[in-house]
Amino acid sequence: MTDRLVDEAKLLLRNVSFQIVSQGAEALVFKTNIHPYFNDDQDESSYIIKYRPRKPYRHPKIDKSITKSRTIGEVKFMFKLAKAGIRAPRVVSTDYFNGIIWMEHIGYSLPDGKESTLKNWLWYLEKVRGESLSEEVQRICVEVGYLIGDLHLNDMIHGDLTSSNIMLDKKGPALIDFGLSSYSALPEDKAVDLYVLERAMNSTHADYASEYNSWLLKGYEKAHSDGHYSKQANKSFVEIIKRLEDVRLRGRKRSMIG
Amino acid sequence: MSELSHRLSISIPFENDKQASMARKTMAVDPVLKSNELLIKFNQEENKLICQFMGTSDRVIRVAISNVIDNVKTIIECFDEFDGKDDVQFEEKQETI
Amino acid sequence: MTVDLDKYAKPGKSYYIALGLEGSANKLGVGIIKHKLGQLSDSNRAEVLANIRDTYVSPPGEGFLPRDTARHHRNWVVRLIKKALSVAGVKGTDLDCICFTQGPGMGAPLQSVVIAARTLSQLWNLPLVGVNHCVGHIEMGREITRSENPVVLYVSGGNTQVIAYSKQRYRIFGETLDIAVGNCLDRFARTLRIPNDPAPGYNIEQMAKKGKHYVPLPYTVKGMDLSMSGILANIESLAADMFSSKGGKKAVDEETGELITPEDLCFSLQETLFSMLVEITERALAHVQSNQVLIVGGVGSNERLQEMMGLMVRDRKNGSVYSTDERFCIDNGIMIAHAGLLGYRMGQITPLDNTVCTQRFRTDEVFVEWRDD
Repeated sequence: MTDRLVDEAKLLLRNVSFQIVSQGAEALVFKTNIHPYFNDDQDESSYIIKYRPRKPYRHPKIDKSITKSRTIGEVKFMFKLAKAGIRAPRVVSTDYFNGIIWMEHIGYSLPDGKESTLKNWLWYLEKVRGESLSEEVQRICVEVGYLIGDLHLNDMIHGDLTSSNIMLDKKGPALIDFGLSSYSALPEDKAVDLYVLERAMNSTHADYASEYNSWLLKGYEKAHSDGHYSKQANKSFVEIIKRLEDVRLRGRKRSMIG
Repeated sequence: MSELSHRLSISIPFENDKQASMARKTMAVDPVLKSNELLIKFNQEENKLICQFMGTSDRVIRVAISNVIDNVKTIIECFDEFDGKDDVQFEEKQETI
Repeated sequence: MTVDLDKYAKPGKSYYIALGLEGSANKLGVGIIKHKLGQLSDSNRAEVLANIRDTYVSPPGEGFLPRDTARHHRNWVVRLIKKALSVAGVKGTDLDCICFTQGPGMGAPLQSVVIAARTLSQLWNLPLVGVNHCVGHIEMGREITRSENPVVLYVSGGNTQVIAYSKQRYRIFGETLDIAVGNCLDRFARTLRIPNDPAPGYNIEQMAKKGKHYVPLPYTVKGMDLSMSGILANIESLAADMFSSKGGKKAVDEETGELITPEDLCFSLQETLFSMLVEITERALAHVQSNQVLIVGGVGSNERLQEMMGLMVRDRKNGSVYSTDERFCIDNGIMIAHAGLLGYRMGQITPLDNTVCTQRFRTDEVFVEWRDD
């Protein structure tokens, strides 16, 4: 990330010392030990500050409306996730105008120093340990699928499911990054959500994607058949999978003209 | 499936057997899209290319023949311009196409 | 370990020359490329010997239909091949192979060109190499710009994809969920009756430069995918109101109250579509942890898109944007020759019986044997 952006962030976050975690596509992610409004020296927890900088390539009108709507949308979504008991960081504080969200920090450092996203963890296993298809991987993938099933059963759509947007820690997986989230009960929207994830897995973890995807779907199905939700859940699972097949087919038919 | 009751056959003479054979190979590769409505058979007899059309209607056959003729035009143009000329350096006036 | 590109080199010959034929849409292109033995590098670059093109231009308000486009290609293909050979100063006996676009594209135009390729291949006893059009764009873009491993934004009349290389495939990270960006621009140009000469997208670009007011349009990014049909419907209805003779409500700018012009619409459409394209490209960059972007395809020659992409990478450490000019961005024969020759050098030749063209041919179906990074 460039110094210009970091300087911009420092200006907005005066008196807050932070470390840089990553530069995502639309936001910078920082880590800090400072709570935005409690002043407790005993507090050892850490927080994530997500900052959506101005995008100089966008027309100011587009930029303003996107930054605001995504920041607000993300915060509301996280609030609803917390209410529904779906694991994700809790919101601590927000500044819509400047595109800043403070939230709980989930995750740890992998042995290679990277943040424990599902992507980094799978890459680490692939490169360093050659244990890509262990039982542990299967268990985690099923848990992730279950979590997404839970999300969809609450008629919530993530909008940007990738292995980078799933954090892992001792308690299991958690979802992050809700800038593109929305609410829908339509099987079509849920199927597209799954399709986006499936494609991300195919392109990011090419060698093992078919196993990963089948485990994810297994967990997804499990969420629908576990009986926490109405008896309709099973039926809606069947509908979503049918839609998913349609969406896949549309995808293959798409590149028609060079 | 309706019967391929409409039939027509055309014979296209080429300069020599080799050209007729090449034309056959060039065109026989492409499958017919609606095989239940149309069938085309290409056969070479010496310097002639025999194209047999079998279709469900005269319209289907008309379209198919028109297609084959279009392709044959390109093939013959290739023969005229390139046959035996792989060692020729083409020189053209610098006209803009 | 690097790939040996010279396993199939002819003894005593220190170079390869390939002929490439492209006709998947309304451009007919013929190119001739030369590779010297060994890896392509900054000091051993592919040499463009000829790269000529003839475009089928349809009247304003009309798109190009497959039948008419195929007729255009048939009329010109042999003449263009002759011309390319003469420009390059190359004879049939100098060639190693004939490369042709096997897909994706419009069926009839593709087929009209492959007929010439097959005939010439038999006449001159040269092997055929079927090439994926999208891979042609990517490889030519990489060679011209010498960008090593960029995230590729491929934007044309029929395709909108964000692609990154991994393990011998060009993998699609994001793409349009409905229509392609070029198609969206072309169709809007038709609504406004903007001429198709030299290209509808080019004329929109020129008009957009004169636009002042931004008209809000939907913004529809879905992860690394995007959707454009809703935007097109929205702006088409704005344009329809503008030309309505009934004197219905005409759009005005929210702040100044000034009447919205066709130029404003072109400007707003470009700003919206390109913002989305840049955003999904940035998403892919973040996802694969890269900082190089290569823009290919006809829409890639749009200077505003290039400028916006430049502004985006400026905020990413060591970021850089690569793009090519219209000779290589817009569909052409040289990219088919180049990508085909890379395949040929790995022994990928296409037997006559397998030369059937296909309208659907996904970028990630191609085994990129010539790369091993």
